[in-house]
Amino acid sequence: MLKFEGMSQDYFPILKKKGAKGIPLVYFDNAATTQKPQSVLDAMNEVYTSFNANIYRGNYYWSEKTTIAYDSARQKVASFIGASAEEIVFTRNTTESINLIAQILARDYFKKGDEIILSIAEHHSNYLPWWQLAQTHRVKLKVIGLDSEGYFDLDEFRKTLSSKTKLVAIAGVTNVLGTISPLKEIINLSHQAGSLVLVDGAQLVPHLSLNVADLNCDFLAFSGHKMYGPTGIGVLYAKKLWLARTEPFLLGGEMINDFDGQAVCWANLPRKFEAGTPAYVEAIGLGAAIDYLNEADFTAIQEKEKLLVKNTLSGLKDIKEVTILGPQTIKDRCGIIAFNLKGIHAHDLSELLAEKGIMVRAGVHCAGPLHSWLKIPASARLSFGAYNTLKEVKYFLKTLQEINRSINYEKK
Amino acid sequence: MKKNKLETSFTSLLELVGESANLKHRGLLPHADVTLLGVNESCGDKIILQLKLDKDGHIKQALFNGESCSLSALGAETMCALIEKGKIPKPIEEKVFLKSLNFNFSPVRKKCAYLVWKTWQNYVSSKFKPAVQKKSKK
Repeated sequence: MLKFEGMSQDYFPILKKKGAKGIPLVYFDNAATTQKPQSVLDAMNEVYTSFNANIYRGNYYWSEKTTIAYDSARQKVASFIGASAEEIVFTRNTTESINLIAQILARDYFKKGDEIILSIAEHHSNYLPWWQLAQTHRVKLKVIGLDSEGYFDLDEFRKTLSSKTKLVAIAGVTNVLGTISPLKEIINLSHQAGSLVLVDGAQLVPHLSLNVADLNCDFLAFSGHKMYGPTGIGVLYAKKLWLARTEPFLLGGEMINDFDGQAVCWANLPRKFEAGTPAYVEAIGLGAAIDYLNEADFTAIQEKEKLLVKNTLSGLKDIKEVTILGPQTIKDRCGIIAFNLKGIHAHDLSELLAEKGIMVRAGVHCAGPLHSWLKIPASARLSFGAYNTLKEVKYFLKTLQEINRSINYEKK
Repeated sequence: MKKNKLETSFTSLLELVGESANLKHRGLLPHADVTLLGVNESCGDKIILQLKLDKDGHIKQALFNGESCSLSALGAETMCALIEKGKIPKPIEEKVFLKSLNFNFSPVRKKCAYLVWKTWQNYVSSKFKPAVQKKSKK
């Protein structure tokens, strides 16, 4: 029997809010950002009200305590994904993590004629850095399509992969279709071909358990704010061996052991990649978010999200004017569902839903190439979090049916 | 029964969606003299504004087409009517546009409503520079 108590909306102060005229608010835009549990807000507030001081710099109690809390947050992140703390570099977000790797690889690794493989379903954050690198370094970008059901086309990938492939950049969970990429196969095949693999984990890490040591990816990027943590804190995981032999990219305060104006000795891992004062309060907030996920039972959250997806897909299929993008079943998909309703633009639909208190995203969701490939201008997207309920799904489906009746039947 | 404000907004948006497919200026203009593209990256809207000019450069007809939400379409319809009425390609004042639009929209949808207005303003400001043209007259 699943226990959902840890996912109660009572943990999230914002979810007590009501909309205009007291209508209930339903937040279904968790792929964009999640709401924050009280424990995360408290952890960050405690830093500012009890012991805030810059980390690694002061020989006094406050600085020491903040430093311990920051290091502890790094350890929590590392344990959550099966890495060592030395392999966790704090950044601003997934986008910055990927761009950091792209800039370093452009500087040290790629040469003319190399190839990068990515999927058509990538978020712009995992597309544009490689697209630009291809322009500036005469590297070829190879984009893998989707199979007939909407999953990553592993056969096309096998045919495209070659000794020229030097990087495969792939989302663990796609941000529009919600599909789970076959990472194990992709990583094994890529390594056999001699390529590095970067996993965009923005939608993966908040929703599925993973162990990077087992997965064997070279890089993993994700954001704190999509996993119940604050904005402004992201994570770059990279293998220790790679980090150790790579020169830092950003230079400045607190990323050296010694510098006398003549020679420099970089700081130990991972601090040589964290120049300047980092977002340490946000990192501590992310640590608290991971505590929340563990205490609420991460496995149970995943089971609950599956239940929500299953019921939503079933309800959407009952409306014949609805087109669900990508796979039509819960097989290998997470809590993201993109769809369109006949006779109405996704933007109008999202505003009508918003008028009823239901918050969904509409547009191309930073996945322009995917929408062009699907030959659609835009889509509406639902994405679930730990606190969403079946009652909310039923309310959404009832509202969508009401809109469908008005648009496609009563107005004829 | 008098509807509350929330229902009014929901209903008026539903009505707009219903009407947007049959707007007077929606259509393709074969052999257009001017074709402008307005793109709203965040929501995927792409609206094409086309003009037919007479021999004096006056606007004979303006039509729009493309993929868009109903509010972008209403903005395009409003602009077509305004520029056809004005005949001579010139900027349309924001307050004139908003008065003609006559639709209450939320701030987040301003970029939808303004898409074609902005496209037009950019076009006329880059194409027609009266001060410079006057000076260049010999």
